[in-house]
Amino acid sequence: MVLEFKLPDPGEGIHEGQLVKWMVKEGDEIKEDAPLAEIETDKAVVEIPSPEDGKILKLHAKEGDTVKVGSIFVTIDDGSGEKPKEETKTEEKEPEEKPEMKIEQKPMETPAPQTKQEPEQIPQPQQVQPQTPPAPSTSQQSETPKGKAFATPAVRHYAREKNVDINQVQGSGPGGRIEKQDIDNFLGTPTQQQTQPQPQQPMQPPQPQMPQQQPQPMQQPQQPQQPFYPQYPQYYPQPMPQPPMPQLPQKPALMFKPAQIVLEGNADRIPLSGVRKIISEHMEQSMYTAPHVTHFEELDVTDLVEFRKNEKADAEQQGIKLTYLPFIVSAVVNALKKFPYINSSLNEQTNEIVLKKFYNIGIAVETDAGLMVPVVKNAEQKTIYQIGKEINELAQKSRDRKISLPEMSGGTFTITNVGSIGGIYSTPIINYPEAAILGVHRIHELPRYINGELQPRKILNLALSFDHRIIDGATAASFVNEIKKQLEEAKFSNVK
Amino acid sequence: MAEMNIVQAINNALELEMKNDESVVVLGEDVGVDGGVFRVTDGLIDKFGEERVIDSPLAEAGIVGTSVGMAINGLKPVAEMQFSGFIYPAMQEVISHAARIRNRTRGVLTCPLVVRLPYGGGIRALEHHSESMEAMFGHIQGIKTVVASNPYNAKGLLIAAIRDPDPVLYMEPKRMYRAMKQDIPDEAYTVPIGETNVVKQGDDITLVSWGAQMEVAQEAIESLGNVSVELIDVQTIYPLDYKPIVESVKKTGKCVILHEAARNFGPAGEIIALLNEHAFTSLEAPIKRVTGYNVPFPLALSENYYLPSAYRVAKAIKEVINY
Repeated sequence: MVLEFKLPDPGEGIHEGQLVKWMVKEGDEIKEDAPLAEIETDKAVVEIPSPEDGKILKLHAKEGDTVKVGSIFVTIDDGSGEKPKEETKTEEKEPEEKPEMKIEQKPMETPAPQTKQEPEQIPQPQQVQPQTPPAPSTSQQSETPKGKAFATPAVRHYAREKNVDINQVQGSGPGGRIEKQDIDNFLGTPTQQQTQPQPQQPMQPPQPQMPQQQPQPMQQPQQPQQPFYPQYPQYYPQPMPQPPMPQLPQKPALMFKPAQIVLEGNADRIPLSGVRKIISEHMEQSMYTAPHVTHFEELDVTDLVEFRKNEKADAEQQGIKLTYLPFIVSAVVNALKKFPYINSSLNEQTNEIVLKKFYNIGIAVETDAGLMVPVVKNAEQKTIYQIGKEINELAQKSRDRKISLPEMSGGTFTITNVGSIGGIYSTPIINYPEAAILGVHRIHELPRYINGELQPRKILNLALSFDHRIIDGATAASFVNEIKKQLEEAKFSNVK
Repeated sequence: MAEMNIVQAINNALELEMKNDESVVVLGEDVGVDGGVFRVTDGLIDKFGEERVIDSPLAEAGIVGTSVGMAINGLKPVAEMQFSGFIYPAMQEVISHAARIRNRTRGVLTCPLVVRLPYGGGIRALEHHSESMEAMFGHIQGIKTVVASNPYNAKGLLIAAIRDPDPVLYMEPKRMYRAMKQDIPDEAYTVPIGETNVVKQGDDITLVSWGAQMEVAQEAIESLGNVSVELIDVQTIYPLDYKPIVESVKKTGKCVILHEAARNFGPAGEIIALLNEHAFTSLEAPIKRVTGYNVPFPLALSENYYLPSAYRVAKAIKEVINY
């Protein structure tokens, strides 16, 4: 017989392949499993073997063609002389199910046994209209529990809508099942699904055990929209009672809703965590709690520069890298003693201003992890050298992440030195709950008039941010003037 | 527009996202030099280098565990399991870590990780190579599970999965890899995760399926001729967008659910439960499911007996309509 060999799936759902090369030509004799052709798929080049012994009658593709799986590939004559028939190997799907096709279940439809399953023989739901109510016991799948109406959820719902007690309705469907038209027939109307303006009085007394069968509006089962789950209001007649939320500690309330971050390109997402998160929370709390005002001042520290230059070598001998910061700390402490409100905190709970009689000066330090503020404790008891040594040590510990919590707490006033990086003025945010913070800037050499004569002078800018709830502008300005006076005079009694 | 099969569509999605976002990396067994066991990652190593297309050791737990670490540190790894049945050693990483990072860190960290899972039978493969475990994945809280069914949603769902901030298990119907082609847009686009797709409108009955079985569903619908079937492609197993299914069943009153996975505790059971909750009063007949059988997935010779066929689907549809 003549076999029309279809290109088989060479594996893994290949849909088509490119014919690379015929390994036979028309008229050739071929043995079973001998290669017919090479096919290149997306994955590999594979040889397609012959399914049988025989003679090649026809090749159905040219080299270079794309051949679809399942299309006729080669015609082979096996020499038996039988009539050609379809190649069978591709038809292995569901052989076990073929016999089952004949015993299709259509119990109520038609007495003629169904032998085929042509699509057109599928009855539409509307077509199922048995003429007489059949005996309930004829269908094994339609056994009715005694004393309960036999109906699908949809029909039960329909009966409720129509205000019909379904238990009174005679079913006409398979196994005596109640169909929609049975409800309509019960109401004495033709088979119609439109809303009828009739039975205002219930046909049957409402069942006491089914209070939801009370007369309902005929139209829509939809109730007024609930805010909760509006899609399916009928299933959620009551809003769910919300359990009382536990009272969480309130963050300082932001009065605006969170901003939408619009991304029109790529972006990295860095989790706000660790030191960054703490800084963020502190800044937010400070900024939204204490009304900030920043006061700026310019200092002529030409003498201080000279003074420090003279001390530097001495300090180095003691292993101290003497910067300007210890001098500023010292001047700040002296000024704080004169202006106690700067060295204070407002206790919002008790409505008290707490004036502190100790002077712990925080020094803001930039580290890889973020800003840290180690504290020079009891600075009023220390010499400038001691302060300088301590600042060096604390800063190093901070950068090494070896600073301990006690070394960073208990501050009463903070100095932030941005001068090492740049800028001429800044507006620092108070290290809440302290009352003020001093920003220290770079010392520039600038021309200034001294007694009417222009001279190169060393100029230092200071910025004092203060909590205006407890400190007035005049106090702040006087405080800064005190620092200015000390640093410009550069007469220190507590150097070593 | 370009005509592509599913393999090409996934490759294209990976390439576009790797170009678009430097933090996207691909890793898995043989994904680099060899271009993946199904050639899905073919050519990516030449375009993006071995730092971003990483040939991993043969260790699934290591692949996913490494990916979790990458993901919480800012990369967007797309890990490949050669076959979905190989993911079980990595389920410790999926369930205990990937799925929990967001919750464990109270929302501080997320785990933007995609695990690509060629799933399902029909390629005459060996043991462990053919299962459909979406029900198991869908039961894990904290991960999303999507199933592609054609080149268009294969590309769109993968891009959506890569851009998603949370771990996504992306199931690829490997039987369909090269079995169909579609014209799909050249540019990157997304098919949103958590959206069910009503493929075809109909009035008589609702047919719900996903993945490779969508083709079987189409075949069954064609064989039924004049029955008006509404066909729904679930696309996302979890979080399941059940509302279109509910609305459809409210309209048709009847439903058949088709999946390749075994029947017991399968996704069809979950969908039937949702329909019970939300469309009970519309049901005109018991819902039927056409599924794999409750046996281990058979070897090559008998897999066609196991896989749901168009015949079985059409038969179920007829039984429900004739109820």
